[in-house]
Amino acid sequence: MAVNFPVADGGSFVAFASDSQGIEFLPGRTLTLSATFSGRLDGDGGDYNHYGHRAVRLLRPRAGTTPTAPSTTTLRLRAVRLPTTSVTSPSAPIVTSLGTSTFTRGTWTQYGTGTYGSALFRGNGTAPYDVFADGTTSVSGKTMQQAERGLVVKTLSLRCI
Amino acid sequence: MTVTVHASGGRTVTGVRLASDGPGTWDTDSGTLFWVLGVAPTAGGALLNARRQRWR
Repeated sequence: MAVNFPVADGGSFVAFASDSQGIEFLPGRTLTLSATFSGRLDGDGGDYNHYGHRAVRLLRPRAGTTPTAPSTTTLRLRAVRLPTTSVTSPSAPIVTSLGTSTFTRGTWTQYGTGTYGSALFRGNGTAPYDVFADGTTSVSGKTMQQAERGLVVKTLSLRCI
Repeated sequence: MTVTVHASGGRTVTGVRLASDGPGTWDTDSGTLFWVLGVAPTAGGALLNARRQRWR
């Protein structure tokens, strides 16, 4: 059920999710919406996905209605490269560096995340490494922090209505 | 949930996932075990999710 459809600037789409058991959209639950966008950064030779996610909290409904998300929520997107790597260390967990590297077109920060939809940074921003258990699969990539002419990544946002 | 994209020139959406801090994860990836997240241009519009190949 893959998707691949264009959305114009300011355009929108609607996402539907079923509540098969009537337990998933309860008040107080936080739902995190993630989206990926295909694209190529200006002047850069590599292919990147634009990725962003945002948590919205379900509000307490009035009697007889279903919980609803806040009327407006802004989602900031990051331009990231998403190679998936598998941890194959035979014994102890391994440590993956999250240090910074300077590329031709700007400074990028390498990140690690346990799953595709989870938080990009596991640490608090000061820890220079991350730990993955043996046998797990991680998603790694680089987030653009500062670009010389990286016009694309700084203008992306999502608004959930 | 209506999602509005603000990006110069527009973008091509290649994946959407909704995850709850309680039970419930939905996505547009048929390779996962999660429930399908339907995507449409409008609330009453046709789904944009790719159809599954049908065997004859």
